[in-house]
Amino acid sequence: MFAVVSLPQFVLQAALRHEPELWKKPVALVDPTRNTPTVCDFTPAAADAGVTLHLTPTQAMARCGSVMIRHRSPARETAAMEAVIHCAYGFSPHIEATAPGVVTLDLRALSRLIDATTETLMVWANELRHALRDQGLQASVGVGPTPNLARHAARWGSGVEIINAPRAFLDGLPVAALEPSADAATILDKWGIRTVGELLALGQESLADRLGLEALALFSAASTSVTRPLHLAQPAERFEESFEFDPAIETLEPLLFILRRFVDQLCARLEFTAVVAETVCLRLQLENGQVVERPLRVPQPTREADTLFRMLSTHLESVRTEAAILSVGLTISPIQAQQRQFGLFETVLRDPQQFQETLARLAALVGSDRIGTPVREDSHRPDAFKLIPPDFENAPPASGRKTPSLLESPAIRRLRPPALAAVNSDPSNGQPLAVRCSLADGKLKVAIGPWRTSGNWWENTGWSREEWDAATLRGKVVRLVRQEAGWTIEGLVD
Amino acid sequence: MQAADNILKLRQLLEARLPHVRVGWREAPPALEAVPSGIPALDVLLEGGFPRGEFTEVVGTGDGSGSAQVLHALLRRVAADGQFLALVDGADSFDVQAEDRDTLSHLLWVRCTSADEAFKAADLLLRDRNFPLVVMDLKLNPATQLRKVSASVWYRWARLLEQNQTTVVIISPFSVVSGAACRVELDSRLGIETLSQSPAEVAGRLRFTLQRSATAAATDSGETRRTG
Repeated sequence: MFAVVSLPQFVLQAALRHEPELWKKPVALVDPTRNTPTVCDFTPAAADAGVTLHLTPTQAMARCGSVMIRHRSPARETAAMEAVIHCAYGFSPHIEATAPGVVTLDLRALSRLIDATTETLMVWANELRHALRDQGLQASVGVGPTPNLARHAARWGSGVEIINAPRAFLDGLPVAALEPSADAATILDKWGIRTVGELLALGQESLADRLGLEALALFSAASTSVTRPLHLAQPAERFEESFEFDPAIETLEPLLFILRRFVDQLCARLEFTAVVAETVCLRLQLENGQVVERPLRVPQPTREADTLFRMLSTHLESVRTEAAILSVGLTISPIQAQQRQFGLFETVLRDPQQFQETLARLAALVGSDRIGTPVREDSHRPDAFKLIPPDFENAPPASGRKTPSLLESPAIRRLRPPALAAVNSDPSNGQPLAVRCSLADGKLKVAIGPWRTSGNWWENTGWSREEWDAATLRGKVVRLVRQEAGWTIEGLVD
Repeated sequence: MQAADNILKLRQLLEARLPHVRVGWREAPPALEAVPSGIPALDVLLEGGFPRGEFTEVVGTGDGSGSAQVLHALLRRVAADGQFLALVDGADSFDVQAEDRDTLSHLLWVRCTSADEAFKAADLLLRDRNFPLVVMDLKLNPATQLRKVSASVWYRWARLLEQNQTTVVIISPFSVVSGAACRVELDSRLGIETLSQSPAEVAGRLRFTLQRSATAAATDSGETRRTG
C-alpha cells in the first residue's frame, strides 16, 4: 500500500504560504526568471477577473485593476517542499520526493496500517492533511496499491481518495491522468477513448501496434499490480522559514505575528522528525541593506513553541534597527532530544517547563554565553571557567568544603574585562610602586608578589602572567596583573 | 495630650469590651521564616537570616566592605542545604575560583553588563516560580545606572514575592531599594591581609549594621544594632 501527497498549485501555494488571506483575493504569480516575465499561476479570484496564463503583469493588471502581483520564489518552494517532507516523515519513514509538491509514502510494514480498514486509512490520511494544513499547505492524499495509482488518486480525487477497487477506479479515471503525449492524446480522443478503463479494454498488444512504445508506458502507468522502488529521501536537517514584508515594517507587532507562525510550524516539523531545537537563528534584512543576524542558543534544547517564541520576543524587545525591516528569516539547528529519568517522588524544581522557558528568555536577554552554571576549567589560568546548562536535579550535595583550608582563599570581585592600568614599578625587582587607573589611583602602600604562571605554551594560545596583590594608601586592595600587553587590574577585594 | 489620653482610654475600653478584635499595633507580628546567610553573626543580627518572601538589601559602603564575602557565604550555605540560588550579577564580577565544583553546581549565574539588563533579568527570574532565592549583585554598577531605577519596580516585585515566596537579597553600593524588609549596612574595610586568610576568618571580620528589620520595625523602628 502506498500513499501520495499532492499539493495542487504547488508553486502558488509556496508563494502564498505565509499569507493565506490572499487566496480570497486576485493574485497573479509571475516568474521573474523568464526573459519576459509572465503569469504562471493565479488564484481563483484572479481567474474570475479574467487573468489567464502567460499574460504579462501589465496585461493582467489591465484585465483586473486590483490584481496583486507576486513573484515566484525558488527559495520558498524549497522551504515548502522541505515542510512537506518533514510532515510525511512523521507518518512514514520511507518517503520519496517524487516531484515538486508530490511526495510518495510507503505504508507497508506500518504497524498502525496493517490490515487497515478504509475508515482507518481515511483517519490516517486526514491526520496527514491536517498536519500539512498547519504548515500552511493544502494537500490531497491518495492511497492505493501502487505508487502510480496512489498518485492518480491524489491528483484526481478530492481531499482524500482511498482506492479499494483499483479496476473500478481506473474505469472512471480520465486518460489525461496517464499524461499521454499530445499526439497520442489526439489519437485517443479521435478514437473516442475518454477513460483509462476504455484504454485498458483495447488491450496492450493491439494498442502497442498502433501507438508504439508509448502504449507500454501508458499501460504501465495504469497497472494495478506493478510497483516501482522508491527513491527514499531523508528529511533535511535544516528547519528554515523566511518572509519578505511588502511594504517594509517598522514595528514589532507584525514581526512577532509572522515569527509566531514560523515557530509553530517549525516546532511541528521538529516533532515529526523527533528532534529538538539547539540554536535558533534570527535574521533580519533591513531596507538599507544591512543584515542583523543573531543566533540564540536554547539553554535546554526543546521543541516547545511557546518557549522558543518567548525567547525570540524577549530578544526582540531589546533590538533597535537603523532602518525598516524588509525580510525576516528563522533557522533552527536541531539536535537529538536527550532522555532523562525524573525523580520518582519529587523534583527540585517546582515547574521544570517554566524553568526552561525562563532560561531561554534570559539567554535571549543577556546572550546564551552569559547564563548557566559555572564550571572551573582544568587549567591553571586564573578565572578560567565555562558555563553549562544548569542541572539542579542532579546537582551533587555540597555537604562541606572539600578544599584543604590552606588552599582556601577568600573571594574577590573580578573585573571582566580587566581594567587597563598605568603602573610605575621598581626596575630592580619589578615591584609595582604606584598605579593610575579609573578604579585606583596613587602610590601603593604594599604590594605582595609576584606570582608567575604560564600555560598553553605549546599552542598558539599560550599565556604568561605575573600577579601582584597591592593596597593603595587609601586602603583599596587590587589584584594587578602584568602580561605582554601591559598592566591590568583584574580584581578587587570587597 | 488630652487627645492622646482619650485615644488610650478608647483603646482600653475597646479591648475590654471586644477582646477578640485587634486594636492598635501592639500585637506581635507573625514570625518570619528566614534563609540562613551562612554568616553566624549576620544570622543573629537578622534573627535567623534573610526573611523569606521579602527583600533584604545589603549595602556595602566603601572599598573592602565585604559584600562579596556575604554573597559567597550565602552560596555555600545554600549549596550545603541542597538548595540553589540564582545570581543576577550586575557587573559580571562573581569569583568562580573561590568555590568548588559541587557548590557551583547549585548556582544559576546570569552575567549582566549593566544595571538595566540586571533588572530585566531579575524580573524574569522573579516571575519564575522555581527560584526560592535570588541574589542581585549591583555593588560594582555605577551610581548613574542605579539612580535610574524606578521606584515602581520594587512595588511590582513585592507583589511577585508575595505570590511566589521568593527571597531576594540585593547587594548595592548605597541604598536603592525602597520597601526592603531588612537593610544591612556592611562596612568591614577589608585590607590586603584578607587575601591570606580563610573565608571563615574573613567572615568573622565582617562588620554589619542593621538599619531596618522586619521584626525590629514592628517593635522599635528607630533602633539600629551593630555586630562584628
